[in-house]
Amino acid sequence: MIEVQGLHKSIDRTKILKDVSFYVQKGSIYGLLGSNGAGKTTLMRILAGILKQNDGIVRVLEEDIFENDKVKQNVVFLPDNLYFLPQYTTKQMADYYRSMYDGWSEERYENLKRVFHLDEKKKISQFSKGMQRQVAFWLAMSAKPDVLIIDEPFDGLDAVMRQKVRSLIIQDVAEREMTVLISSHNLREVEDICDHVGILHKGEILLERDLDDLKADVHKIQVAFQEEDFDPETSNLDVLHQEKRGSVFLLIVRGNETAISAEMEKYRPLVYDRLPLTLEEIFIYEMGGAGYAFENIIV
Amino acid sequence: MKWGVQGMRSKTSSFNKEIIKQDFRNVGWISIVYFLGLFFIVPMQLFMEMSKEEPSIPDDRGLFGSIFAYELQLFFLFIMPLLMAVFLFRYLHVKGASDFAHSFPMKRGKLYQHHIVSGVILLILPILLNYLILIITAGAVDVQDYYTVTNLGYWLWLFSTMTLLIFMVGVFVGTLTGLSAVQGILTYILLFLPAGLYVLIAFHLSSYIKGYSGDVVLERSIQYFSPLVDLVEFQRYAPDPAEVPVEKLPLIIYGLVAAAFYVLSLFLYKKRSLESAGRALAVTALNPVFKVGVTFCFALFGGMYFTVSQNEYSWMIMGYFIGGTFGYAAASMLLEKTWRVFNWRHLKGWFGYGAVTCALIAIIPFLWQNYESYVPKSSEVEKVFVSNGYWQYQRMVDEEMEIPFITSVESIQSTIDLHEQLIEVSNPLEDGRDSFFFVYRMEDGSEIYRQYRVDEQEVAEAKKAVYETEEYKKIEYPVLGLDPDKVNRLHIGSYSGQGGKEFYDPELIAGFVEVLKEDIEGISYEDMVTPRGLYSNVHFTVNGNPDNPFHVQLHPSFERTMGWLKEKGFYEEAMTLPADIHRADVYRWPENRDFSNNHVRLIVERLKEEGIEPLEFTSDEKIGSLMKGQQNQEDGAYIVAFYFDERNSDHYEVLSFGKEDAPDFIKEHFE
Repeated sequence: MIEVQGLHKSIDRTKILKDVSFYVQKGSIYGLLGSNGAGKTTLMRILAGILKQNDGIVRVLEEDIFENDKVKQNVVFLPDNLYFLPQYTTKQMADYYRSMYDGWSEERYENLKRVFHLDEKKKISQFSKGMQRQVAFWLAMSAKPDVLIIDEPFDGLDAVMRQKVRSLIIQDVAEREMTVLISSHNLREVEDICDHVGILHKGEILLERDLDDLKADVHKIQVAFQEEDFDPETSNLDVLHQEKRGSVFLLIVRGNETAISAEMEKYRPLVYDRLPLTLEEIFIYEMGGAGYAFENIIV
Repeated sequence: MKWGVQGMRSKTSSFNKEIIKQDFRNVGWISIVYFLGLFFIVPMQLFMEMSKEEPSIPDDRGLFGSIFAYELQLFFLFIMPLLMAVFLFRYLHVKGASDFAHSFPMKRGKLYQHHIVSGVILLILPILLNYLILIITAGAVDVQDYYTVTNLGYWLWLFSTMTLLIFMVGVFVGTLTGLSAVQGILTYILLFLPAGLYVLIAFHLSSYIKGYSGDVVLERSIQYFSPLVDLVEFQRYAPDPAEVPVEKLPLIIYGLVAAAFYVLSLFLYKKRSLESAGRALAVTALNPVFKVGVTFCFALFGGMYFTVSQNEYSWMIMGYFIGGTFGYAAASMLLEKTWRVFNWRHLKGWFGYGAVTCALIAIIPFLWQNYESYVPKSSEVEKVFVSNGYWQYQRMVDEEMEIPFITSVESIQSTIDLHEQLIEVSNPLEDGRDSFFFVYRMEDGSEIYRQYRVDEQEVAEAKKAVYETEEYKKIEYPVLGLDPDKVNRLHIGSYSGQGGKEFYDPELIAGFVEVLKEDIEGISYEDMVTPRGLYSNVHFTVNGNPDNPFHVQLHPSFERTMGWLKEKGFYEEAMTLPADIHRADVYRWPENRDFSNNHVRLIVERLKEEGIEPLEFTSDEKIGSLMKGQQNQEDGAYIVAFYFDERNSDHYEVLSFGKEDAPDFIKEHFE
């Protein structure tokens, strides 16, 4: 659905993106994570067909996106700094979108009007920032795109609206197999919506993961033993991180869950608990070895 | 695949009404202002004029005339199309708007064409509406005094074409830059640039190259280098016979140029990298071109500025340095959008661009190297015109007079001899007192112009040979070609300002002109250049027009004319007599030569300021012999100043004597 290979982009002789490659499957929600200035917005502008890459392949819906109006018919881009035509009301904006997108659904537009409770005859510039973002979603979802590219989508939305927008996106992904690319500088914001994440740092993709695999693969366990003969180093566990508080070990372990519990049983632990692990922790421990100050990138 | 199906069910026509609608909402006000501006200047003015008790007298320019405040019309014509271009394509220069506009499924070319359609409609509509009002008015009431339908049609054509031209140039610059302010300024610069460069280069050529006539180049063709100048020129020279500001052919060319800019902008827009919103130049490759261009223009301007005031090559080079540095700094500031450009990198750049600019300035004169030494072969010359200035020639061309060319082989040869001498002695930067202007009309139909300024003594011999030809006299004295039958009135005014004689009788006029022509045909070089005595001015009114080039100075050395005046009894009124002179002051010609200008009149001013006591004469007899002195001398022994009125010490005339020809009574006094 979205295929990027060996992408390079420089603006004003500054290298913004260096050899970026990734793939987003149809019906997937892909979270693009990165700190400010990592190149997320530039990458998204390229994926939306606004900017042209200096080098590399950028294919959306199996065609080059740049200046390709046929493909762009099915792609909607929501930038982080929203733009509306000056003095326009939502209704007028809807007319504009309708004239541009063949897939525009009037029915969808009317349905969403009820979801958002916004006055469509009011000038958009008079709305608050959060309301403007809702208008942008309203318009974007009414165009029924196959690919939705959203830069920092939850910025300025309150918890209720955030939930509403999230469910709207998920609904379209489930019903129509819409493909979504979401960027964020905050992992917590997207961890419950994305199925894949990629981390962009200083113009390069650091890693790409399937979140379900990741969650199934890394575990946080708390164990305590009667005898002092347990040493995580010598055990058959792939330990990413260890802490010892008194006689209690706190371990982050990679591997199959049943295999880990089987291994632990051998030492006959007094306590054996599996603790919830946030996505953030997983990343921190995953990359800890690579020596990155990961917290700074994501949070 | 799903998206493939969707792509095929395309219901959108190639025309998107919403974009046009948005443009109208966005820039419709410009159209309204343009309409109102033109409406109040043209139709409203017409209604006001027609309802007046005493309407003003219209000139023959119709809608381009003074009743309809052509300059004000120009104001709107210059401003509105550019505003349209700036506001219509403003979205290209704002990142958010640019991303928004280009994220939609529409190719750039199509988007561009939509905006152009909006712009054209919104600009043409105000002109067309005013046209309709005027044509309906013309059908309803008699407006023949103010404009004709043809004139109105031309107005429509001219305004539409020029509006579109300025609009398209504005759009072109808009696609080239990323800042709306830069777009505005750069558009006017681009519209004016060819003319400005032309002036700068012509100026520099005439200060580097002997014989190059900047006057000709500038006067003849400057308007073809800038549509703005072309439109404005019409108004500046009031007695211009042109009825319309821009002629048909240039108007067609401007239309084609506008079309070319349309295509060029389309191409640039498609190629434009959208991340350049907010940058001075969207096409990065143009940055160095822009820098060197600005440096070059400012260097030339600086050179011109200092040369005009100092007239020295060293100052000229100083001007290049200062101007070029200024231009380089300005260009760097604009490109980087900060004034803090004073760092090592730019210093290096400044050296580089300075070197390129110096090379360009140095190369230009070389392209004209052959020009400088070129003297036409007499066998190739059909005829030649010589005078002491370009304007004299241009005036005859403008008034469609017969130009008194030199045609005989010998005279052409003496002209070429003079020309060759001038090349040897002249220096383009030194302002000699006397100017020589040549027009060669060659056998192959081409024309060659040359202009020199030198002090005439340096070429006296060659000049004499030319001046004494009968043909040159026709140039110097247009009166030789005057038909006395066409003269309605003849006025002779003496220098003293007292008296004067005018006559209307055709017989007297014919008699006077006849003897005058005889005298001029026989005049010697010395009498042409340094005539003796106090002259009177003769003015003719020809075919009712008092403004003509036939006026002539009547010198006492014109023996036949003097005889004729005496015989008819007009002499006393026509010429200055000793009795008309109140007093004559005689000074010794000062020995020290540190006067910046040798003009005798200025020397007298200096002597008076220094309080030097002259020798005064009041007797008619002495004054009579002092009146035999010469004019225009640059050297001599004695200077005589004649005062005509004791109350007015500013009204005087100066003659001078050499050692040999001075009257004895002065010599005796001063020795």
